[in-house]
Amino acid sequence: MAVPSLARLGDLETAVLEHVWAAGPCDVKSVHRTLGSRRGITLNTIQSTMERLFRKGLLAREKVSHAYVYSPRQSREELGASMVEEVVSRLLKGEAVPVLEAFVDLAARTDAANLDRLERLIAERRKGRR
Amino acid sequence: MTGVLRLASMNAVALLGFGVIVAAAAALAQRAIATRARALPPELRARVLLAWAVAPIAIATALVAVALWPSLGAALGLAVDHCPAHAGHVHLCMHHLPARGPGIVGAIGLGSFAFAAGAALVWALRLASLALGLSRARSFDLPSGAGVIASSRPFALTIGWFRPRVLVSTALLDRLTPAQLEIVIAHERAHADRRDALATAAARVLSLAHLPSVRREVLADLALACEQACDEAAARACGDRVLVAETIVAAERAAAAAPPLASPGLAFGGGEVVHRVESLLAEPVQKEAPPQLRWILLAAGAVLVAAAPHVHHWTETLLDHLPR
Repeated sequence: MAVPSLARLGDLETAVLEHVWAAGPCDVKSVHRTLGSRRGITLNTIQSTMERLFRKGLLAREKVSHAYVYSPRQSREELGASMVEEVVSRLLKGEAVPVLEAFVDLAARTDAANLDRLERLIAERRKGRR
Repeated sequence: MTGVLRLASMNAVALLGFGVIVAAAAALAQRAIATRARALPPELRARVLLAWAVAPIAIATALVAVALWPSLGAALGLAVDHCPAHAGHVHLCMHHLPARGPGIVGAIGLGSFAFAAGAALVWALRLASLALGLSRARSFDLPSGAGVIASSRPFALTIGWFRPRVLVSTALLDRLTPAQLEIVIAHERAHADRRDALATAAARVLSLAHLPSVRREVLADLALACEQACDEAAARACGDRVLVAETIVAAERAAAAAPPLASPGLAFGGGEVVHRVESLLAEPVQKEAPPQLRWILLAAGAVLVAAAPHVHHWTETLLDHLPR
């Protein structure tokens, strides 16, 4: 399954997701108490937002009594890590991702023999300075 | 086909034709350009290579503009309108739209450009979405402003085109010393200040007018030049070129120790690391752009303008021979 994208979330969706990450499993009413009333947003709007996040694969839900309790499918950390692995996979498949510049290449590695040689050069340079 | 479409399709065919000619000439000049570029300091080299990457499409576009100039000049009242002399001849004129055009070839030309523009737009939107998503996935920000992503893969990167963001992983924070981390962030900040991701993306699209083998070389040289330019910026910030070299090797060791992917396909390229470290251990290259460059470019522009009537005539002559 493709990693769900945080990019296609609106402001309210992002705020709700951040709240569920911070507070843990919660129902629509508890999210509305914290976010909705502060922003002047109705309970229905919060409910629609949480349903959308469920359909986008970012929230899971379980029926408890008469209401759904929503919980994050992945923690922020797990989602971030998944997105990074998705980028690295794309690079390994030869796809260009020219929207980022990495300090060292995310996919291609320098062989150990060359790294050893570079470290020797650096050590010699340091010795030469003293 | 309406007159506007005929004119557009003629320009599209002219652009393709000029593009092929200029790309062939660029392929012949590639070795000389690449050799001279390698002798330049990284910041200047990156600018030269970016200009070289877009040269075929830029020159071809300039030639099409030159071919249209007599018509443009007439429309602006700067030149004599010679359109009546075009009886029975394909006519590149905005003033009097052409009555006939290059037919199927023109349609293919226009269609190709429309397809390429659409594909580039979709590609750009997907990449922008990736950048925004990754930026939002950060757990917290360091005092330097760099975002931290929880990941067992050590990395640092700058992401985004118009509001570039520096991101580092928790794994890299664990592996590097504070001094090394400062160098990494200085390097990435330099990418952000230079808008390297935007320049690289533009170069990838606009360099499609080069022959594929030339394009690969130019883009690889450009990527290395950008990295070295940012290494120099980091070296100026910390005052120790050898420490920057050490940091690159440390980051590469950390990346090599990262957990393997579920579907491994590890690429051994990494030639950039060798070039970057060797360059930092050597004396920095001090060279500036030749002062005559501005005059050379002005002279080239003047030659093009003077040649406009001939370019216009020969372009119409060639377009007239296309099947309709």
